[in-house]
Amino acid sequence: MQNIRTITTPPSGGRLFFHGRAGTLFGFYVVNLFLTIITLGVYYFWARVKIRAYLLSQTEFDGDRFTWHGTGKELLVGFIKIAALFLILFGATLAIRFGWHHPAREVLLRLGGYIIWLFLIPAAMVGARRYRLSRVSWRGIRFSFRGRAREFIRVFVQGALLSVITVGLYYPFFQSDMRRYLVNHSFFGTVPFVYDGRGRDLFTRFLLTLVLAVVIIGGAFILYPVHIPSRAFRLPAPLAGIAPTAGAPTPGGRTPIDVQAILPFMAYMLFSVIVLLILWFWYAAYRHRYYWAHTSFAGARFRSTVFAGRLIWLMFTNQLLFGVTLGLALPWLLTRNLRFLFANVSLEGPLDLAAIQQDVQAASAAGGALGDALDIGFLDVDLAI
Amino acid sequence: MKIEWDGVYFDGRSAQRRPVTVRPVTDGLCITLDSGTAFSWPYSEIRQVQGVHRGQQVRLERGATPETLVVPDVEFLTALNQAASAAGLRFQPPLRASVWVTQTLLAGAAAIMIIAALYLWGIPALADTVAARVPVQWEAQLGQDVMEEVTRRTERCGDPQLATALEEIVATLTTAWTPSLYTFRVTVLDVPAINALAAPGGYIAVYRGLLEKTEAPEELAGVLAHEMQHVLHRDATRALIRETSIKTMFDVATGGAGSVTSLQAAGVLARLRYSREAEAAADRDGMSMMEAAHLDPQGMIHIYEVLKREAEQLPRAATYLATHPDIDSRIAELRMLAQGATYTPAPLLPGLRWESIAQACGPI
Repeated sequence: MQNIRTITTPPSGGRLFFHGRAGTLFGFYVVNLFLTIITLGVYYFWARVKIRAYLLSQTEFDGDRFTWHGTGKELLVGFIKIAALFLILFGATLAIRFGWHHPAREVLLRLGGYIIWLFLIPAAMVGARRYRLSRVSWRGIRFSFRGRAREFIRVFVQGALLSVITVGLYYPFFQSDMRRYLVNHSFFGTVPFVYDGRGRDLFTRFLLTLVLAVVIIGGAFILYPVHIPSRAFRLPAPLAGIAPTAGAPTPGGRTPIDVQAILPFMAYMLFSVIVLLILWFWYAAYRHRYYWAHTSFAGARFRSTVFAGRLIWLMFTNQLLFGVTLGLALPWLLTRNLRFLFANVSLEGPLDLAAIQQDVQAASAAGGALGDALDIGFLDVDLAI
Repeated sequence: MKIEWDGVYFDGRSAQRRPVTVRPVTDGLCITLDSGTAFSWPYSEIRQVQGVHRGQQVRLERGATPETLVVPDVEFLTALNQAASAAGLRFQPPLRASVWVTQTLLAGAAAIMIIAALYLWGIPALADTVAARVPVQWEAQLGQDVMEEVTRRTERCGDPQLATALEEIVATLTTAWTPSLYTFRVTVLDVPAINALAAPGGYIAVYRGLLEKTEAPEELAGVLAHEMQHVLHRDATRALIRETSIKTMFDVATGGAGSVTSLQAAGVLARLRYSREAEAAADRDGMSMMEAAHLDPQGMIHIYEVLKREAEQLPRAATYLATHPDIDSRIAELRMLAQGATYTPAPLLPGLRWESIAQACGPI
C-alpha cells in the first residue's frame, strides 16, 4: 500500500473526547474489588490494566480511539522487582539502626533517606512515563519516551537543590526544565512532542503570586491585627479525640484554651489558607495554559483554556462529592476530570499525520510499578496540581 | 443477520486510517479497502484484544507489528463467531448488559460480605494470633515511637520526686508478679484530662488530671496495675495490628498503600476502646497484681469511684470513661475480687506526703 501524504485538520477542533460512562467504570471497580479480595490482592494488577484499558478505549481523537497494551502479568513482575528494591532499602535501614551505634546515626539515616528519594523520584517519573507511553497506541502507532534516567535525574537534582537554595524562587524554572525534558523526549511513532516554554515566563507569574499572597495576607493582618495566642501552636491534649472540650472547666487544672480569644486568630488562619489556595490555583491554571501553549506536535500546537475559577470549582466540588459519598463517587469524579481536561485542551493547526511511522521502543514495567509505588500521575491525565 | 460491517484498518507502520468493510467468510475475514483492494485475515491468525462490552469497539490484531482492525459495533462478534465456528475457532462473544449487571451485583454483594466477615472475624483472629507472637523488643520499639509522638505534642512532668515514686510503685507491683520481659516506663503528661493509656511494650502514660485525683499511692497503683495488665495481655499491640489490617484492607480495596505511622498509632491508642472482656481481664489481673504486692485493694476501688464521679460532671469525651466504659459493673466486680484478699495491706511509700506528689505536676 502506498503512503499518500495527506494533511488533515482534525474535526471537532482537535480535541480529545471521552465516551466512557461512570456507571460502567463503577461496575469495573466493583468486580475488580471482588476479584482482588478473593485472589488475596494478586488480581490488583489486572484490575489496574482493566481500568486503564477502559479509559483509553473510550478516549477518542480525530475519530479514532486509543488502546492500552499493558498486561497485568508485567505489572506484577514489575511490582515484585520494586518491592524487592524497597525491601533491600528497608533492610539496610534496619541493619544500620540496630547494628551501628554512632551519635550521628539518626541524622545520617535521615540524610541518606533524602538523598535516596532525590534520586528515586526522578527515576520513577522517567520509568513510569517510559512504561506508560510505550503501552499506549493510537491508529496502531505506539507512543514512546526516549529520555535517559541519568539525564533526568541530573535535571531533577539540580533543580531541586537550586529551589532549596533560592528558598523556592527557582521553582518555576525547575518545573519548566522538567517539563522540557519530559515532553521533548516523548514521541508518537517517529515524531517527537516539542516544548518551547521558558522558566522565566512562569517565574513572572510565580513571583506575582507570591507578592499577592504577602500583600493580601499581610495587609489583612495590618488592617485587622489579631492577637496570636502563644499557646495556639501547642495542643492542650496530646491527641485529638480525648482532648477535653476547649474552655470547659477542668477541676484541679487550668482552662486549657480560651476559645473566645483565639476565634479571631482562627478566622485569620482560615482566611489565609483560602487566599493561598485561590492564589495557588490561579498560578497552577496559568502554568497549565502556558505548558500546553508551548507544547506542539507535528506542526500543530496545543491550547488549554483551564482557568482558575473553573479549576477551583472542579476541585472543590470533587472533594465535596468524594467526602459525602465516602469515596464511592470516584468513577464519576474520574470521568468528570477527564471531560474537564478534554474540553479544555485542544490541538490546533494542520496536523501532518501521514509522515508518522511506527517506531516501537522497549520499556520495562518495573518503571511503571515504581511510578505506581510513588503515586506518579498517569499520562498527565490527572491535572498535575 | 448483517453480512458486512464497517470498520477501520491500520497497517501498524503508519498512522494512516483506512476505512474498510469487513465480511466474515468461511476461512477468514475478508477486508475491503475504499480503493476496492481486498485482502483476507485467516481466523487462526486473529487476536481479539478488546471490546466485549456495549459501547466498546471491537479491536482485532494480526501479526507482530501488529496490523489492527477496529469495528465499532460489538454485535460484529456474533457474526464473527458464527463464521469462525465452521473453522473450529471461537472468539469471546459480546457481553449482554443484563449478564454484566448481574455479575457486577453479585460480585459487589460478595465483596461486601467478605469484607464484613474479615472485619468481624478474620481480622480479630489474625490480630490475636500475630499479637501473641510479636517479640517484646518490637513491641517496645513501637511503644517508644508512640510515646515519642505523644510527648512531642505535650509536655511531660519531670518532677524528680514524682519519678522516684512512680518507679517505686511499678517496682512493688512487678516484683510480686510473674517475671516478664517487659520493662514498664510510666510517663505523666501535663494534660488536664483524667485518663491513662498503655502503649505496646510497657510504655504507660498517666495524665496529670488523673494523678491529681489520687488521694493515696495505692490508688495510682491500682490504675497502673490495670494498664500494666493491658501491656502484659498485649491489648494495645493487638489493637494496632487490627487497626493496621483494617486500614490495609480498605487501602487494597481503594488502591492505596497500607501502613500506620506512629502518629496514627498514637491516635488509635487514644481513641481505643478495648472490648469488655479485655477490660474485665485487665481489672481482674490488675487486682490480683495489687494483692500479690500486698497493696490495699480499696485503693484501686476508690480511684474507680472517683473516676465515676468525675465522669458524671464532665463532658464524656474528656474522661476516663470515654475509653473505659461500664464503670459500675466493673466497680462491683472489683469489690467482689477484693473480698477474697485475706492479708493485711502493706503501706506503699510510707515516708511520703502523697498530696504534694499528686500535685507536683501542675499548679494547683
